[in-house]
Amino acid sequence: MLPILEIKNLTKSFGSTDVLKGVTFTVYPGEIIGYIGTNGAGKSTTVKLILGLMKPDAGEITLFGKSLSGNETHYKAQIGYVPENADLYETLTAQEYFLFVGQLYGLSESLIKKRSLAMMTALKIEQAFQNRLSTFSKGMRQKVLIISSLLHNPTILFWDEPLNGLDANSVLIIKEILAQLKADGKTIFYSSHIMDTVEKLSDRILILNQGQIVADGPFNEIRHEADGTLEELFNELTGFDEHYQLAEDFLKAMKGVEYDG
Amino acid sequence: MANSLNAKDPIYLKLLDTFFALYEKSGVDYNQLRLIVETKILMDGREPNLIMQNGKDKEEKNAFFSSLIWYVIISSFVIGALFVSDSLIVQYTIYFGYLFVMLLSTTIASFSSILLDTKDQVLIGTKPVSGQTLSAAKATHVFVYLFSLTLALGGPVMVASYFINGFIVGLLATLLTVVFSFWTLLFTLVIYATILKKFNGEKLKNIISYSQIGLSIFTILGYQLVGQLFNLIDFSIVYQPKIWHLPLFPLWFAAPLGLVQEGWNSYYLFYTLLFITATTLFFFYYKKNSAQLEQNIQKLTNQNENLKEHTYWMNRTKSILCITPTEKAYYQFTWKIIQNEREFKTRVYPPLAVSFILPLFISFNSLSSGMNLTDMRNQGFPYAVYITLFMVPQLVASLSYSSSYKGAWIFQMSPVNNDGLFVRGAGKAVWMRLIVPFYLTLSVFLVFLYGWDDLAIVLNGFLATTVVFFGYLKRSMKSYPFSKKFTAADANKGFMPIFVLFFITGLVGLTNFLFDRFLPFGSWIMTLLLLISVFYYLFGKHKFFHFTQD
Repeated sequence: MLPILEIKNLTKSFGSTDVLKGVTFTVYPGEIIGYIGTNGAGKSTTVKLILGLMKPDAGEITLFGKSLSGNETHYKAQIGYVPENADLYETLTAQEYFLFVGQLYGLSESLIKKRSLAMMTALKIEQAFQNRLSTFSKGMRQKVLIISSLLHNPTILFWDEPLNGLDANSVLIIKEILAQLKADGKTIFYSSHIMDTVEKLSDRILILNQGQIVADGPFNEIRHEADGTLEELFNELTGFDEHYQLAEDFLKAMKGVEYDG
Repeated sequence: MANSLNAKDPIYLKLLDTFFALYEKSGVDYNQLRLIVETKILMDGREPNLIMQNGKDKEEKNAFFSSLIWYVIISSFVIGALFVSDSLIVQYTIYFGYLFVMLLSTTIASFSSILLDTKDQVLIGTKPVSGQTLSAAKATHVFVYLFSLTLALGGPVMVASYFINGFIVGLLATLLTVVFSFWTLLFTLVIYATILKKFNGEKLKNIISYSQIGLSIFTILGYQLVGQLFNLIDFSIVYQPKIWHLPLFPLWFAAPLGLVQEGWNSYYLFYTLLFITATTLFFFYYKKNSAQLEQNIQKLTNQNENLKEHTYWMNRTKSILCITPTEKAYYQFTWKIIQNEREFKTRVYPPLAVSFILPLFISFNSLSSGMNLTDMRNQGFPYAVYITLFMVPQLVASLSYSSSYKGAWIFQMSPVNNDGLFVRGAGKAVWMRLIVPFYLTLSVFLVFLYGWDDLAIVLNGFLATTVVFFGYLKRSMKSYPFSKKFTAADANKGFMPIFVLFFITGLVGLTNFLFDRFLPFGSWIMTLLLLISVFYYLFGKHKFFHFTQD
């Protein structure tokens, strides 16, 4: 099978900070990929590069068998994107936002209205359809972003922390949605900090640390390096074993008298 | 077209639809552009309100469009002054000069935030929208406002042209005004596109700010120079070309009208060609770079460089100006926000720089036209410092806005919650960081120019600005500082109060003048009075109150 996404030696730096130092991986159609890494490891930067929001310093991105450079716009029609920090146009109502996004994909107004209302109903937020997004809770915003990324029935999803702010029940729905999308042959590339979910949901896991991929494979294959959970593996690979000490330092700072005055 | 047949479409969309083919020819997806522009202008009209609980929105009018009537009124007054001269070149050079000042300064201070918006790339750039379409949509969004502003400002003059100068001139003036409006936008876009292409990182942000300040000063200087273009010889005004006239754009645009009235003139022809060439070049340069422009805007979001902290001056002034620890906290907070926020600088620095350069310029201008310093002193030129009072409303208004307005929840959470003190602390920081240094520089020049004798007047100007600033701040600040989002619809806020300021400025200036003429040491007595008021505002008892949140 031909890969749907191929990334070779991707590098990117901002000023003097190297964010990505040669990232290479391949994604095949129908896979669910969990992309994990510490805060600031370069996850969102990778996604932004794939979406053409920024240009890489070096390296190659091939999506749907075509190189990204010179293939500016059309490939985006097949992508569903959930941005990292829940950016939205907040002064719009949910309906207006869906109409806006949907029409950018060339969907008709009536289709967008029906589809988005039905999707909101399934996620139990349909009563807020006509409300401004600025009044939405974090979880509701996340649902709006998820809906707007799926309105146009894309082939590949890039979801940057899609479970952010969702309650446990909603997480269950979203996980089930992902599983069924996969069954339909969609490819899903997502990042998350909830290790338990990533472990169970992903066909393959990519761990990014300090701008490089340090593990790539199904959980069963990469776990041999640590005989425990993904969380333990993650801690080990990202060189983190001092949480106890750090927590103690933290609380000492809060209570400590030596900082007074 | 998706919904162009909708009868409820606003006029600007219907107008836009007539250019459908032009957009498509330039490689822009018109339907997408239309949708983006329509949505953006809808959003501009809505106040972002975090507290509003029921989302049912009462449809608000976009405040920008309703404020245009004031410009129409002002411009109607301009007509009278404009058509005094019989020479078309003089009339319309002054007219385009006036347009240029108003349009460019509004574009820089208020529409830069649209052109340099970084969020669009994430929200729209991830959809199948080409960079070219997105960039064109932003430019069109700005142009809708700019063109409306042009109509409001130029409308009265254009209409009067038909009656006073005949049909042909009227038509030509109308045409040139439209092109001029377009040209102003292109000019701004070309400058931003070039800067964003050439620079990176922290340097880029600084250069953007400097270019905005530079452009604003250039605009004002240019306007002042326009007045010197023509020499009065035997009761008729004669144009004598000089090399320094070249960059005075208003002249380019008036040149075709000069050709109509005075017939063949190689200079006018040259200027006419210049404006046609420049407009065409700008257009193609922008078109070629527009897709890249959108990507380069993302450079503004990269913040991986550590900022060097300069805190010495802040700490020193903080302990002098603020009494309680709470006020010190507010002072420091405000200082840091206005130091770091690019949007704040964009809105405030250019008008600030202009209002301080103007008194100097008036002086130099008169010097170069043959007046000597004694004459100027006798004619009250040092009173020009009172011009600086005019930037007070804009300065105060801009204190309400911030790009990180969402952080304002913390003010309500804080157990130390004294909103009156907050406003005063914030005011002090703005005063110390912006007004004082600018004024100091200005004073040095003025004292150097006019000598120590007029020190009292310069000092009074400073104290009066201070008193008006704090007084105005106290009266008009109705919500937490930095708690609102700035949208293009807010562009003309702080404009209306300028009328009020006209009277205040006149009053204070006149008082100073009368004190000076009719009382021994009159100016110094006034200094004393103002000083007392300043102390009252800076250190006096302040009202303890909370903002009412609706």
